[in-house]
Amino acid sequence: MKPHRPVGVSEAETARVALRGIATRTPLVRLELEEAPAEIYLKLETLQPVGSFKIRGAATAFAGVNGALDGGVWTASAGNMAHAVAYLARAKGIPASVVVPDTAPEAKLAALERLGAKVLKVPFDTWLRIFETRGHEAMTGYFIHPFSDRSVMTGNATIGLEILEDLPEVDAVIIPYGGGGLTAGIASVVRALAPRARIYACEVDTAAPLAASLAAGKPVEVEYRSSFVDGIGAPRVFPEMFELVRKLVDGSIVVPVADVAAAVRLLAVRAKAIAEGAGAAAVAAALTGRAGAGKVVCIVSGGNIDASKLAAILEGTRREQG
Amino acid sequence: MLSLQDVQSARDRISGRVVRTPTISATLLGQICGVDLLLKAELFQKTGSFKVRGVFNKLLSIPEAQRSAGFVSMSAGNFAAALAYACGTLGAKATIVMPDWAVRSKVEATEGYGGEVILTEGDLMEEMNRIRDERGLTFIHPFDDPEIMAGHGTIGLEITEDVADAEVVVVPVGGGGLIGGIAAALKGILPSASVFGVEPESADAMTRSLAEGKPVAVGRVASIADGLAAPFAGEHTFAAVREFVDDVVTVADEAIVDALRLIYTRAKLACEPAGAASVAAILSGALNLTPGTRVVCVISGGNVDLNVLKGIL
Repeated sequence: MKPHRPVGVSEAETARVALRGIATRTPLVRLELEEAPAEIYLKLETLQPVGSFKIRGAATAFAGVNGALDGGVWTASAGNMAHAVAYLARAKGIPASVVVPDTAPEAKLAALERLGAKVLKVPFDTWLRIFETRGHEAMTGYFIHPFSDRSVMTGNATIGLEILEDLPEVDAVIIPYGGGGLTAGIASVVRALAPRARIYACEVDTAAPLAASLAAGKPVEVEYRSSFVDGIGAPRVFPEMFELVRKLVDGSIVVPVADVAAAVRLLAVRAKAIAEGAGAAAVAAALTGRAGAGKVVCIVSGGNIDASKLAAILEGTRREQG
Repeated sequence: MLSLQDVQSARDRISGRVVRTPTISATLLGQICGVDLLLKAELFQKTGSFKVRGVFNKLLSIPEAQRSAGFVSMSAGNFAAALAYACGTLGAKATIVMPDWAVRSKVEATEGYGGEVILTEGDLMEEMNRIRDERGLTFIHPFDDPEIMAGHGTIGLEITEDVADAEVVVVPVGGGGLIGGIAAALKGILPSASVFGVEPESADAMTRSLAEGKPVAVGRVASIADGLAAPFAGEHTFAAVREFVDDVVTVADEAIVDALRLIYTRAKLACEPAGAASVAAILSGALNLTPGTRVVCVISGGNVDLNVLKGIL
């Protein structure tokens, strides 16, 4: 597949208008800490109707293809894109199916069932391959790729527009890196409109192919272990995403899973925000100081975490894997 | 009587010192409640609750020269932290008498902001009076004060800006300072909107006061919503509630817990039990609203003890 072009600012602005009434214009909230390497701001995508940023990309994709959706829609997702697609499909009255990895958490599967989506659980590797082949024998209807899709990235880019509106003097942005669609979307518009701002992806050390690929200068395979941080992380980057992202970001900040758990706790206690692991990863990255000082915006990408996992983290018993 | 002008003056005074909090659409929670629901996220406020709004307005209304003696008050938690924080910002000393059953994290937060905490198992007011006289401090009432109420009322101004077509606003009621201020502002700008208060069944001082036509005390109170456990309604707050508020309803602790859980899992907000009372009133049916009504629930704070929370999640 050919590498993607950056999302244009005017495309993102058009998408933003179309998202009105569907996606929430989320607030940018200050994280007040006595000692922090930077002035940290939280872009709370947790407050979206589906609990994650994915509604932006999914709704933008829906708007772009309209009539083609009548036969139903499907996606492959760890949970959040599936949730967004199922939510929008139900509102439109069309059937939705989703392929999820066997590592998908209960909170995300329960949400899918509530929305009436057909759920197919497959082994992690089978699931991962769909992002390359864009097909699965049991699936019919229109396929929405959760990240390697122009419309999806354009929807994600609207987050960048909102950040620059709320904090034009932003010094750095940190974005959790899963497939790369969120990073590519936000980084495209921030690069264009605030060229002096630093842009970082962030990953957990149990699944950090971007950092390794950036270091190698080409896509490389890394050892992958699953953790409670289920929304991001893979054994490899997707080449067409990597080629775009490498031009846009200043690096990828890799943090231990335990630091992400601590960030989930910090967000609840200090910022009063419920975040899932992927959502808290950017905060853990900001706290390392590697994104530098000044005004640092962390994309808190989602908040769909099992209540039992959250309780364990708040209690401080969850340290390593999950 | 508290007026819209008082609240507008308060806003000029406290602007820049407090967070202009967002009003958030809560689509999923709204579907469960059967209304068009928005949440005024006052848990994002400095010190984690709305209290700093009133405290700053009160302190800044006192001439600077008179602030140096220091201030004293009594509170179970959020007001204590807010007073300590605001005094710290303004260079004044804060002393707060707290009940010995106060949530530990709230005591720690108050001390963390530089306040001196005196725990007592006795009567808060008596202990406060003793310390005030002994140390020559100025008493700040935690809720029954027009300047405090006017500061809290700035939330009402922001709601009318964010949700110009709000039909109903639901506010948790402890001593009544928050709802008194919000209602005064709302009725001044958006008279068509209804304002409802919510109290725990076991801490229903305002409900009883309205029934008796005068502010009454209810003695010892015990609710999971420690932030709403004011044992009496104030003179000023009662007058404002009677003038501006449409009705006050009560909810059981179980309803507050159910609402809290849903706010965590569906709205992704880490609120405290008091903050969940507004949503609890709709979920439990204590407030019976027409389906589709455009409702703003005030989520007043997010300072919850992790041990309490663990049991709920």
